Amino acid sequence: MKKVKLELDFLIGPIIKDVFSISKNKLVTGVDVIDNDSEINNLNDKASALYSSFYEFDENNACRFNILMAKEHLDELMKLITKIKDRLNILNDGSFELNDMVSEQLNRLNQ
Amino acid sequence: MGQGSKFSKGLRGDGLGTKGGRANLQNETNALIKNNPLLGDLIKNGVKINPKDVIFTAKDKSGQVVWLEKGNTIKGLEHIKKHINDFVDKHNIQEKHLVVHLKNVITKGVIIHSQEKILSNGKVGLEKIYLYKGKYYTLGAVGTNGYIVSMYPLDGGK
Repeated sequence: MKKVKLELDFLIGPIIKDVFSISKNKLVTGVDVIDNDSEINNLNDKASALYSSFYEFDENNACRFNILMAKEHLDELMKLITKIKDRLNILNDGSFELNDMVSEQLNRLNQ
Repeated sequence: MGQGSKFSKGLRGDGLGTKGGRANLQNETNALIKNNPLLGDLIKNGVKINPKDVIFTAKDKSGQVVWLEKGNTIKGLEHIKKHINDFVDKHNIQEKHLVVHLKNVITKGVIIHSQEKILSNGKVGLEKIYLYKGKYYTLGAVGTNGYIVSMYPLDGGK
C-alpha cells in the first residue's frame, strides 16, 4: 500500500507526487485512482499555485516567504486542503494511506 | 560611544557603521566572488544574493545558474534537510552527503523535465527534474532568479 504524503512546499504538493512517469512524462503519485482523477489534480494544482505564490524572489531579498500574504489567504488555502482531503477519502479504494503533514503546517500558519 | 573616526580610529574600526567595517565586509564579499565566478555572475545580474549564506552555486546542463543557501525551515538547505528521510529511503543518501549529492545532481544530471509553473499571483516558478547516475531523479523547485527553494527525491522510471 502506497503512503501518499500531504505536505505544502514550493511547487511541490500538497499531494506529493514523488514518481516520475516515463510514459506520461510527468510527476504522479503512482496511485492510479489519484493520478487518473481530474478533480483531485485540479484542486492540487490550485493549492500548489496559491501556496507557492507566498514565496517572493528578488524583492527585498533573494527569497522570502511572505507570511502576511499567507495569513491573508489562509482561509482560501484551508478550504482547498479540506476539499482535497474529502476527495481523497472518496477515492480511497484501499490502495493508499495518507501521511498528513499539511494539517500541522496550516496550524503553524494560523498562529 | 559612536562609531565615528574619533572613536573607531578611522579604517581600523570594524563595526559595520564604520568605514573600516564596511571595507572589511566588501573585502570578504570580493574574496568570495573571486573564488566563485558563478556567484559573481549572479551578483552582476542583479540577484539579491548574500554571498555569506551561499552553500554552493551550480550551473546545470541547461546553462542556468542556481544556488543553495543555508536558508531556514521553509527554504534552502535547512528546508531540504526536512526531507532527509526520503533521501535516505529512496536514494540512500545520508545527511552528511546531502549537499555534495544535490550539487552533483544539478551539475551532472540530465534534465528530463523543465517547466515554468504559473503561480496564483501570475508570477512563475521553475520545476526541474534531473536524472542522475541513470536512476536518481530529483525534483528541484527553483525561483526565477535561481534560488533553490526545495529539492525532493523521486522514484523514477516507472
